[in-house]
Amino acid sequence: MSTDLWELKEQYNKAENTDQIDYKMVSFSLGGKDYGIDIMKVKEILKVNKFTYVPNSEPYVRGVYNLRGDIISIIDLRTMFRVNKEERTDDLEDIIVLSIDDKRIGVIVDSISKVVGVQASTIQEPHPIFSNINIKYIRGIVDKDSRIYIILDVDRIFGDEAEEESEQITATEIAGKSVPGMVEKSVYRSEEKETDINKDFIKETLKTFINFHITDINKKWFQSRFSEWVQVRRNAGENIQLSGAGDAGEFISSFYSNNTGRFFDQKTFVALKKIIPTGARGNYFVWDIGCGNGYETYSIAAIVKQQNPDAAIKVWANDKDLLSISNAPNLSISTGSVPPYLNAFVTEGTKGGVISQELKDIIYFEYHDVKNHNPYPDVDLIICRDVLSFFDYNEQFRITSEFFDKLKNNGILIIGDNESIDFDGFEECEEGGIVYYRKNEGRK
Amino acid sequence: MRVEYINPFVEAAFNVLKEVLNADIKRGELYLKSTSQPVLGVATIIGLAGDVEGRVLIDMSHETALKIASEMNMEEFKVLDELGRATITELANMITGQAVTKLHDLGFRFDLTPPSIVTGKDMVISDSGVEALIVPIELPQGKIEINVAIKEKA
Repeated sequence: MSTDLWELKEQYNKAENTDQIDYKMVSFSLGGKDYGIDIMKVKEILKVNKFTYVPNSEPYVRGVYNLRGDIISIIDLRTMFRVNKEERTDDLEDIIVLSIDDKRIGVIVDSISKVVGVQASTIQEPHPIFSNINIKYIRGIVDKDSRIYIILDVDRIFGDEAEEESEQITATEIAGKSVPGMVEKSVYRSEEKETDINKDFIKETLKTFINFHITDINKKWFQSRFSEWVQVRRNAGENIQLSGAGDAGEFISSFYSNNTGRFFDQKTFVALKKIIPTGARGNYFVWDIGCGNGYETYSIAAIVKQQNPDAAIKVWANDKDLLSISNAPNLSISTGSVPPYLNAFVTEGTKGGVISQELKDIIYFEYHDVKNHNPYPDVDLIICRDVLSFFDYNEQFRITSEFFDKLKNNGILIIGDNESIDFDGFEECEEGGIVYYRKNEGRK
Repeated sequence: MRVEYINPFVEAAFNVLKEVLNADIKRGELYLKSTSQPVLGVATIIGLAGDVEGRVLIDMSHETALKIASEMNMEEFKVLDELGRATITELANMITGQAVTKLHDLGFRFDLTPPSIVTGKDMVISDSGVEALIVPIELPQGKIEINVAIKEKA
C-alpha cells in the first residue's frame, strides 16, 4: 500500500514534468509552412503597409519604418529566403519586430498565427529536408498539436555573429586570389572553429556540473574568462574542457563578486553610502537574495541603518542553502576583522564578537527559494549578487521582471560585479566602481 | 520561512515521535516545495495564526497510520476507526503543540486551530503561492512528512 502511493507520487511528479512549458515562440507561416521565433526575441507584432524605400539596399530590405519614433529596418523574410509570397486580401503586411542585441528589426512574414508554448527538451535538431532555408539559421524543429514548427535562430540571421561570418567569407574569397594568403586564412579559421566548439562545450558543462548558465547577464565576463582560461590551460598543457564540478568551480572562481563571504570593505561602504539614499522616514524595505551566511546582509543593513536612522527598516534575507542560512542569525565574528563602519553594530559576546541586537532586530533570515512565491511587500532596495547566473534564461527573465514589479519607483537593484542586465525600465548607473540599476518607470 | 522557525518543528517532530513510538527514527534532508503536492493517504492539518499565518500538515500513508495507531494504543488496528483517527490527530497536535511552545520561548507568538484529519486515495493539496518546508521522517512503521508553510503577516 505504502509503496503504491509512493509510486503514484512519482508518476504524479513525472506527469507534471511533461506538461511543463518552458519555451514559448511566436508562430507564423512563410510559403505555406509553419515557423517559430523565440518569444524572448520578439518585441511586438504589427500590421502596416507604408515603408520608406531606401535606395541601393539589398533586395530583401523593403525599407524603413517609423515605429513610434524609432526608425527600424523592414526585411522581407520571403525574399530573403526565396519563398513564394502568399496572396493577401488586404494590403497590410504582418510584421514581427525583433529585438536583437540592442537593435530593432522588423521582418515581414506571410501571416502571424499565435504564441505556441512547448517544452524546450522536445525541440529536435534541424533536418535538412524540412526546409530550403539554410540549415544554420534553424534552431530546431518541434512538434506541437500535430503541427511541425521550424524554429528560426534569429540571432544567427540578423545578429552580429551573422555579420562577422559573412565578413569572414568575403575575406577568404578575396584572399583566395593569392595562394599564400589563403593558406594562412584557412588555418586561422579552423582554429577559430575549434575555439567555438570549446566555448559551447564549456557553456554546456557549466550548466550540467554546477547549474551555471551563460546568458546575456554574464556574457561579457564569460568572453574574457574564456580567453584567459584557454591561455592558462594551454600553458599548463592541460585540457581546455571541463571534466567535472571541480574544474567548473575553478572556471567560475573569478566570477564571484568582490567581498563575497565577508563584510563589505570600507571602499564598498563609501560607494554604497552614495548609492543608498539618506534621511528616509517611514518604511524602508530591503530584500537580499542569496545572502549566504549573512555577511552581505549585515553590511547592507548597517549602511542602510546609518543612512536612515529615523526610518522603519526591514531586511528580508533569503538563501536556499539551509546550512549557510541557519548560521546567519548567530554569526560570530572576530572583533579585529570588522571594518570601521560596522563597529557601532558589534558587541562583545561570550565567544568573541556578535552582531548587536539593534541590527539583528531589523533582519529576517529566511530559508527560501526565490523561484517560489515571494511574499514581500514593495521594497526600496534589492541585492541579488551572483544568484541570477544560477538560473536558466527563462527563470532569469521571470525573476528580473519580478524584481522590477517588487521595487518601488526609483528603487535600487544591485547585482553581481560580473553581471549586467538589460531590462526596459532599469537605468544602469555607476558609483565608485559599483554598478547598480535604478527603476525608472518613466522610461518604460 | 524564517530560519528561527525551522528547528522547533524539526526538534518537536523528532522528540514526540521518539517518545510515543519508542523506536529508532531517522530524519531525512529538509527541502522546500512550492507546487501542489500529492498527499500520501492520511493527512492532519493544523492552522497557525498569531504573529504569522500558515499551517502544518502531517502526512503519512494509510498503512503507516494504522501501525502508529496500533503502537500508541497498544492494540492491533485493522481499520482506521474513530479511535484510530483520534490517535493520529492527537499525534499531530502533540508535535505542533510542542513546536509552538518552543517558538513561544524564543519570543514568537503562534496560535493553533483544532486539527482536522483527511483520509482518502489520490489526494492532492494545493495552496497557491505558498512555499512549504518538508521534514521527512523515517520510522519503522513507515514514512511521515511534516509539511510546514508559514507566512509572515505583512
